Amino acid sequence: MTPAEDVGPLEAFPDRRVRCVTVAGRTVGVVRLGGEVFALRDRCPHEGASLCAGAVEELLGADGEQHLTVSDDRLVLACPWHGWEFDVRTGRTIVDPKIRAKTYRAWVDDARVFVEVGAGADG
Amino acid sequence: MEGQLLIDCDVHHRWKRQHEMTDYLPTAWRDEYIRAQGTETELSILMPAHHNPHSRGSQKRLDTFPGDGTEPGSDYPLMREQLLDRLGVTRAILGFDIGLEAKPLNPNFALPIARAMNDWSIDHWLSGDSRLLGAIVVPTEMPSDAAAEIRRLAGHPRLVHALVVANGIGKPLGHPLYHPIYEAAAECGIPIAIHAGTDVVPGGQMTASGIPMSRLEHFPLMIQPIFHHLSSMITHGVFEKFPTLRLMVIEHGFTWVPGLLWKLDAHFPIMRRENPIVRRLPSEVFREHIRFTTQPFDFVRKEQMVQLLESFDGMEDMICFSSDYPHWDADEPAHVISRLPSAWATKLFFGNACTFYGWDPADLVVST
Repeated sequence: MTPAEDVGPLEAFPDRRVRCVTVAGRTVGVVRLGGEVFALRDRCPHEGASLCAGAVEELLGADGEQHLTVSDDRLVLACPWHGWEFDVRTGRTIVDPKIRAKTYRAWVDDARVFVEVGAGADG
Repeated sequence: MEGQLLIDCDVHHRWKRQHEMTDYLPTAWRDEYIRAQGTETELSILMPAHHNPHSRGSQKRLDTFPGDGTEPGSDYPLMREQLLDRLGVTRAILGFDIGLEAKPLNPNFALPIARAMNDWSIDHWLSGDSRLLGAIVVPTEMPSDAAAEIRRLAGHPRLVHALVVANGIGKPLGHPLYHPIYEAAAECGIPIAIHAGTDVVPGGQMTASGIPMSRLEHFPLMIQPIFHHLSSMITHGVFEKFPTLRLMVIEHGFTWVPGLLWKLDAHFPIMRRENPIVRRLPSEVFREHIRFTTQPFDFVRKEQMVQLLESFDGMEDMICFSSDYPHWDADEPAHVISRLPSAWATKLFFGNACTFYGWDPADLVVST
């Protein structure tokens, strides 16, 4: 298994944004939500677009009365091409959970961000 | 795609600043009609269209903005990097974005605008990179003017079809009103192309029962007009009157083809008497005269797609790859062929386009 890599201080990752890093030769998008981080492969499973060029958004939903709701703690990374929305925690698309972007282990330790890729680490 | 000849039949280019194009207008139109006297301020040429905007604020891929405040498709170096060189495109047919400027509210302005667009395209895009080819945009609602524009430019070596993009008259395209356009195209030996969005203009009707209430409805439904236009052209004998005419249907996808042609064929024996000029089954007319581009490619399982396509004879001879760069729903060639029989690749990526446009595949060069 490829060891985890220190990809930088948490403060270098803007909150609710995606930032691309290279880990063990792979391009990975790191999304920060407050004190948490999530890592997704920089490749949309649909037609291969760079997810790092996409947009992080709060998940837009609706309540039973058809009023729009905006989630505070559930973020999606939207593909810059066709707009597919990937839950940053699981990599799964909102519309069809069977479709997902690859995710990697990512965490914060002592105010630094770590990402682990490689055998067994791929989500 | 490395080592693969690739013709992209639908790419969208545009000007960085409108006056790049309007500089080609005759003085009276440019300086008196659309520009504030003595300034650079000018009227926007693009009329409001009745369609639903994309919920993300742009109908372009987010990564195609040049970064200088101008629109996607306006930057040749970026197009070269993202499309031409990256995919190894051998030839790309440029079709404006999407050309609705050629349908102003004032019909007398339509030809001057169309001419300016075509002249701008020749000078700014078709004088350099030999991979780039173009369309002759025509003022569809003024068929005689459209015919004149076709005759003016059909001999240009880099212009490959006449683009019918804006149906401002509100008649289906088989109406005899449009015959001057087809006559000119057939006489000059170039095809007609219809791009999706013909009817989002004033005078047109994009969907039955009015304007859709969301983009999700709009997008699948915006191909509705082509059902009528093709039925109209076939059943009212356009291809009988102009037997050498060819038609490329752009950006409508193609999974609707079997259903439409089955219906037309099924009713032809009963209703043939209405249109005795048509002597063949509609599907036979379709297979001989009409081709279509693949984008937007419906995202279904490969086995579903193959089963559908193999249910209608000859589909492999009619599909021509298109990306639709830089629009948000552009397709990648690898994605398209992954959902089609691999044996179709040669025809899909260049063979069918070569046959349609009269190109010799031996003249194509694999882009490295």
